[in-house]
Amino acid sequence: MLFNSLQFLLFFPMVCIIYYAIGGTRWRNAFLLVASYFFYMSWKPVYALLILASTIVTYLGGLSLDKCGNQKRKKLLLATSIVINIGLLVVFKYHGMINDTVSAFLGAAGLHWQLPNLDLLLPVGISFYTFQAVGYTVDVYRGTVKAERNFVSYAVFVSFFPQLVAGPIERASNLLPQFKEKHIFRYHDTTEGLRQMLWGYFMKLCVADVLAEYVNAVYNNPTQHNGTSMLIATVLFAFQIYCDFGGYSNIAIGAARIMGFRLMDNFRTPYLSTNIGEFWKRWHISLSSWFKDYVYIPLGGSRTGKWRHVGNLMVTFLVSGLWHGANWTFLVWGFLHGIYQVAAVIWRRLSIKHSGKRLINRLIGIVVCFLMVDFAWIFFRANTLNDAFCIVAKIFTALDKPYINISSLSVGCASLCLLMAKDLSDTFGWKIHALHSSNIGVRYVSFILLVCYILLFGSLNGGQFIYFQF
Amino acid sequence: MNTEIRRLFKTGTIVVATLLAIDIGLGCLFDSGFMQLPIREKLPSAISHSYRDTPDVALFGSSRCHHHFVTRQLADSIAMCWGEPVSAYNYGLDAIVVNEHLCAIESMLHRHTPKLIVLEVGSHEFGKDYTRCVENASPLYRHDTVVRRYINNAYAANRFLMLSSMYRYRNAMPLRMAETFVASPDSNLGYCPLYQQMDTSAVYTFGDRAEDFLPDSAVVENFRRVARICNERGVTFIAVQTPRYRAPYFPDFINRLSSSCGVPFIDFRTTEFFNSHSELFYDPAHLNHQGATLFTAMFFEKLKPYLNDVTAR
Repeated sequence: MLFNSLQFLLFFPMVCIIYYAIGGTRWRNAFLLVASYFFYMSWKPVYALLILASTIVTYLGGLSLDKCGNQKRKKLLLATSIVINIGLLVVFKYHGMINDTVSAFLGAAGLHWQLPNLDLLLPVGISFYTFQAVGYTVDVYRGTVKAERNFVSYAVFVSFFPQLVAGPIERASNLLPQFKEKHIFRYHDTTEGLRQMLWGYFMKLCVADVLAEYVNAVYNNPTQHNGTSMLIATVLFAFQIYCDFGGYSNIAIGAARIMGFRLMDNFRTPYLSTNIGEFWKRWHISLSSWFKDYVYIPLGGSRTGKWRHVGNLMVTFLVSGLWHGANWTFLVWGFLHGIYQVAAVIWRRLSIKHSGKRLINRLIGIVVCFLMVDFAWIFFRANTLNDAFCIVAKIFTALDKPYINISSLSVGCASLCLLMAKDLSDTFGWKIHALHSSNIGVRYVSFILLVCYILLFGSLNGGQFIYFQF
Repeated sequence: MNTEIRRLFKTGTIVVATLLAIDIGLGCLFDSGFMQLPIREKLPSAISHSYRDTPDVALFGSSRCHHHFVTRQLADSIAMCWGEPVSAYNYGLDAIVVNEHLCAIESMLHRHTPKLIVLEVGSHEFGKDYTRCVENASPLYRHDTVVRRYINNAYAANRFLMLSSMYRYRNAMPLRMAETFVASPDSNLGYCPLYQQMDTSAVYTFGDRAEDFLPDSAVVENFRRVARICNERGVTFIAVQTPRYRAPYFPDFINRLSSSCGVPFIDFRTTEFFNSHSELFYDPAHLNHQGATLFTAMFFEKLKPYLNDVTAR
């Protein structure tokens, strides 16, 4: 069930009504668990067993860790829980890639051998709920979170439907306690949630899906398009993926808020970052902070030697690339971001300073950062590494009259202007965001106009969210 | 009732009522203006004119119709054959598959009897993965019974969604208005020439593998019904597959379907001539203007026997 489907528009209000009609917290959690599993099973029912397995393993792991006093045994328990969870992820997500790579290496050596072909379909959202569950186990091991004894509360924490399939990857310390609270219906929360959902729908339907028409036409046929079209498609893809995933996050956070839950922010106007470090503090915040807390810092972070620090950065970003997909293109994307981070560290160590407060410096920083991020997106979006190299080569050598898709470009760019106006106003503190105006009339009119705009110009064909595949 | 809920209910009522009023207002405005806007070339508005036009020869299909049939050349050739002036239009539309064309043809047959209908089609367009949508016709949902039937059959939810005027006109009306200002008037009767030559070093292969092909029974039934209506009304209905450069194996479904319905099928996909002339292509799926001119002449030669039938009637 996609957020941009008619089923969800019927499902969600019904869940809200029943949720608030139910009295006790325990019954509410039980209902949310049923609703979440129903939501997840609408893709492929059998994969609910996977999420259930992950839930049971981490639930029991958490309880055992809590009871266990022996440090060695605790480590063993933690490792077992992580291996089982990551093992499931590897089998379902990376089996094909491992198989292809192994057989290619062996083939080069003249040997012909393949792993058994499991022909598995990637379960929706497996990377998200696995990381959330693993994060909980590590938190219990560290003692920052107490093990949850109520299975229903824990199961609904892992499977909470607004953020189940594409995050934000929540921390147990933030979300778990909220399942203990009784959420009463609040007008303010509901309208704020609705506004955030509406903005999410705008980002997804009027920017991401509309730009996708152009981007897909170019990136799926790289040999047929010239460098100018590639360049336009690459710039547009940066906004497509931002609006696709940012839109999803807004809908998820808004939907949770209507039910009284506060999820963490996932995007904070990332393309207005002035350097790459800042970009990662504003882009996919829940994942980047997860990697920081559970990979980068345990590896030693920056409090190690120079080379170890560089190694830690590279490992973190390579794993992040691999998390995004079982394809070498994602690994190269992660590698590029690792290189950017290392370059930023060297830059800082050389003590090259500039006044970040001056507008011109800020603008230069924004443009340079965007270009670096956008260059890496080429590898993220290209279907194969060969395609990616072909695109890069064409961008620098084959500039010509571009391919024009009037409907996609005109609607996409008009929507992009609206989006940028909002992002700029958020970043620079301009109070021009009409949806949150203090004037009730402006709020009503802007809400209604945005609904009309989505209906008239949005791509309402039920396009998939890009991050579902991860 | 909780005051907070009452407040939300009041706000919701105001928002929904305003949206309904806007929806109805825009619906009236768009309904009166949509078909009055002029045809512009190279833009996806042409097919909507098939719901208004009354040509003698109507060409339907995807981009491979839009860019392959030089309409004026074909109309002149047919006029010479029939000995009378012929009105023709190419309703080919990029990235649109057969169900949308069948809807437009059936709607045209509902109010007008052309002499000849040519449908450019590939077997893969009948596949289960291809869309049943008739998006370009949705503005006509309230006015055209054929369109209504096709849209309702495509997805059950459409009956509900089509109640909204804004949904029916999504993209269509604003884009049609934009076209009026940005594009030049149609001077090629719907044909859109492509002028570049293909880069043969970058030829990719594509196509459907036979084992992947599963026909959509609803679309097949629509094809059979259109063929039956044409037969009853004495309209010559011809299916054609246009050339591709080094086309890989394609399922033979359209050939079998056409013969089972008594529809003549002209297959250029397997014509060896085009494989040895890459300079006639814009890309592996589309001919350039030079190729299209040649193809139209070749198509006319193959069409001739059926044109005599039309003259006899």
